[in-house]
Amino acid sequence: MKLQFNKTIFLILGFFFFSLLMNWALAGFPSFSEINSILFFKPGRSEGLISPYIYSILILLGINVILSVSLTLLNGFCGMFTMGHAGFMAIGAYASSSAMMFLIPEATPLFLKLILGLLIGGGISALIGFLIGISVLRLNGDYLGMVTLGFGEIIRITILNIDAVGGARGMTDIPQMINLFSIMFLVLVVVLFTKRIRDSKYGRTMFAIKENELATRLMGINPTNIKVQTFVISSFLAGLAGACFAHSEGYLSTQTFSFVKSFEIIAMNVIGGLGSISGAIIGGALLTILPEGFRVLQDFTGIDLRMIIYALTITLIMIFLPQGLFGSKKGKVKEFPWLK
Amino acid sequence: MFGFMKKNVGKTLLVLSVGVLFSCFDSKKSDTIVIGNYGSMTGSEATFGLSTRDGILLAMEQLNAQGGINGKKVELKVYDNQGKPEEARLSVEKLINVDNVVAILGEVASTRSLAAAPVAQQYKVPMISPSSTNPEVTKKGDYIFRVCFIDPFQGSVMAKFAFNSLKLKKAVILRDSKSDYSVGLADYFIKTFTTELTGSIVADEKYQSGDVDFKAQLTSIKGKDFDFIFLPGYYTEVGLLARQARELGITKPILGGDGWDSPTLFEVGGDALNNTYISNHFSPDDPRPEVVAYVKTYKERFGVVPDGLSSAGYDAANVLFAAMKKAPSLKGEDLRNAIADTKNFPGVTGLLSLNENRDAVKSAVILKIENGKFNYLETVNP
Amino acid sequence: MNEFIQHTINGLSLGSIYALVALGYTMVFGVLQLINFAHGDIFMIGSFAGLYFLRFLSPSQPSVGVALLVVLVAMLCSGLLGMTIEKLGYRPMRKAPRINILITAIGISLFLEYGGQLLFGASPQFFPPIMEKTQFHFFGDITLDSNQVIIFFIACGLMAILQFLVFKTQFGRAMRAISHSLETASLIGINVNKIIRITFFIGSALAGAAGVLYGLAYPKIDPLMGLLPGLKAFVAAVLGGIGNITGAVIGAFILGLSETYVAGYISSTYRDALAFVILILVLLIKPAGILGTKKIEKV
Repeated sequence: MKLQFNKTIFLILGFFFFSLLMNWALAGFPSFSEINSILFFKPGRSEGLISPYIYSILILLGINVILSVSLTLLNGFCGMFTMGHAGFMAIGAYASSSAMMFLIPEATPLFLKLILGLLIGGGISALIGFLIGISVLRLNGDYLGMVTLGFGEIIRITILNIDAVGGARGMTDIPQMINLFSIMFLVLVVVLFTKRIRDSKYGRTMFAIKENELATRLMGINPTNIKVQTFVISSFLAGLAGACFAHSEGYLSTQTFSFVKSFEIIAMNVIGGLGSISGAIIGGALLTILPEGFRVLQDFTGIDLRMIIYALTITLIMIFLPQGLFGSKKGKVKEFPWLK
Repeated sequence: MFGFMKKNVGKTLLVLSVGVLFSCFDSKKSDTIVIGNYGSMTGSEATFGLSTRDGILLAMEQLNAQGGINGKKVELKVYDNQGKPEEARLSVEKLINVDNVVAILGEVASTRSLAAAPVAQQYKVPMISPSSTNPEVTKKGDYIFRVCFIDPFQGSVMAKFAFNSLKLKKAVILRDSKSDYSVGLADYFIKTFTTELTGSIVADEKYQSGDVDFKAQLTSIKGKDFDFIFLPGYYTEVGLLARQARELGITKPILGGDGWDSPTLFEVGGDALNNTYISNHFSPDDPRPEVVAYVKTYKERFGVVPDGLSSAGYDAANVLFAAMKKAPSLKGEDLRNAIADTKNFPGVTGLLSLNENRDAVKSAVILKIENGKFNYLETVNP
Repeated sequence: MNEFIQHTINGLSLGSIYALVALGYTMVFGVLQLINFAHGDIFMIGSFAGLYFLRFLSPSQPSVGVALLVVLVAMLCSGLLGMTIEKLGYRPMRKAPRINILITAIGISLFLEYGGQLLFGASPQFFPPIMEKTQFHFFGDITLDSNQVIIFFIACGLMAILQFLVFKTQFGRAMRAISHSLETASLIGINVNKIIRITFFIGSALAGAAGVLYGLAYPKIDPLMGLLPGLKAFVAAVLGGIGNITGAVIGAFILGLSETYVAGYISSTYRDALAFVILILVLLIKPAGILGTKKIEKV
């Protein structure tokens, strides 16, 4: 037991320095005079190895991977098909930003602000996830999907009507504290965390519930607890991703968190393969890079073909490759070797 | 074989897309000066973006025909943000980091200018908004400019016009809660109307851009005792609102601002727009010689009479070009200082001087809508 | 009081448009247990089909006859589109897990929306007036638009025709048989594929008609217009009891009215949220809807 514990700490420390080094490699070296600049460094116009544009796409990739993995918990592991995940992301984003604006004093050190922001964002999101999880216990399949879609939209419309956070016009001047280092670190930690859950007894129960909820009940396990807990964890992670999003963009608009976003996250899972963590990662990566790559086409042809290609791809994959890239028809999903 | 392909589909797609992404980074080291324009070329405010772009194009073509900036031609990179603020931010990020522009012209809608301005400020690239009137825009930083008046002025213009010229004392406000412009202009109107003058606000309703059905709000308004409606929104909703108001039997005058300025307004609103008035930046009936020449050239180039948006775009571009000629170099700080120095510039939308807040001090025109067109009424000086 | 009556009139007008779309949802769900997410976009396509046909006709005189012709053409176009979607998108997925079908439906919906943007342009377009508009005034203050009257009557007319079709014809009997049990229906010799195809055609045609009527009432249309009305019509169908035709109509009118009251008396910014609140309440309290029957899950 002790050995395992040490291994995890070692792993996390390793992630920390690995992410930090990657950030330096890609963004350029900061001045070592201030701890803030070391941890929070972002590239200027022409300082790093890659342009700030690609840098921000990599950050977006990280955020999408966290979102995708968070949905895998709910969808791929536990079998609960939800269509309102963007709502949790929105709560995390707005909660964290509001905390920055109204609650946390200016003078707090930056890294403390970031940690608090992430915790508040994830925490409030988890709270809402708890409430929603309890309400939808009785439902499954299509109905669960529709209800969660409803919840997602209600969350969005409610935020839209809160003037204090900018309402319909969006929230501006959010402190931009996220850089590639923090995102990479978070992605690695979240993936590790999800893997641990999957390999634990807890995770096995989730899969059992997915297969046949009635049977698990007959075996004496109460699926209710597991389902609600899965909701809480999943929404916490989504809220975390939302907070990261807010603190990397600096600007929030409720339009970003519509049903289309929820569907994008579902697509990441489905294309990657339901139930596979590697699939979630690859799905998230693909669905971040492909639209940006196709933007180049847009410059050539002048027409925005991205969404059409996107929609076609999803439909075709559903018809011809329904188990996704890493999923499997026989029940065992494929994973990267280090995630097995 | 198929299994092999299937197995590697994911990796292949990934590699392909990464390749595509990286391939779009050949920084052009050419002999042209690149400037950027971001706007809403599609969506409910499509005419704003398209008109502004056309005005900028005209100015640029005229400049290049005369040799450009110290011999170098100017090139324009245009991005459509589809009317979405997040896309506006992204467009400006791309203009700065991918296309390496030296300056940016845009946007029309204050909400989108507000979303994008921090990016320009962060990377120290001067941004000139042609028609964003919300005062918050230039407060985003000293690299953000505008060549139009701001809403505290515009609001007071319409308030005074309604009260003094049309003798209307009781107003109903109908604002677009999705637009910083609409909300701000409504507030400034109310401020002048109720505190400086002795008007009263009978009702304050809201809608959202994108709505098509306003019968609910209009029905609540109908029952009240009022003299006119103040509708500081954008042309698509204004047209629909005017129609539905008249259908419900509301015949009182409707007043608005520069957000109405679009040929599509008449397509949507038709006859419902009779008995309405707006404040604006520009009137094509302006007798000044430079305006007459401009209207003629614009009509030859684009086939239509220019509206306020294209004229503002034209002026913004020309102010930028004048500054570029004056500045010791085109680097951020030098260019910024040169723009800030703009005084008494003869624009087609009026005589332009930028004050210490980087806003333009200039006059507004009041137009009346009759029989499907804007008719010039009067000019109001600041 | 006058205000309330005015809101009621507006609500009924809105409700009749929702009803036409909700009918399509309910019919398709009835036979296939499928939530056809793309239905709202078929509504949109019908609207555009009507607009383009109208421009093609460019009648010098607006009249009710022209309006009816436009509606018919739109119905034909959307009906055919619906059938095509069924054949290409849903038929190959009949044996697939529910999630996959739902995602396919969403994929088709997005394809129609953004394909529409490509085809029609992303900026909104405007319906020219098809009919002479006269206002009727009651008790001084209340206004009834001739458009609203015509929309209401065309919608009710179509519903009556559908009612006849479902309950008084052989086709309708076959459709109801399939919605009870697809397997049994095919065993007694019903050509299941053909009936499903026709169901899709009728449902989509109704949505197309709704699209044109919507264009008459609210002249601005754009390729993304189908998403929200589609969702609301779905809520209406669920409210009335999904699979139940009369239920869909009742649900739609309730939704149209309550949405108008909320917009008028509370705030228009919450009007869209109302549909989702109703959806959640119905699914949590009585998932079968107002007129639906409970299905018992056999272990």
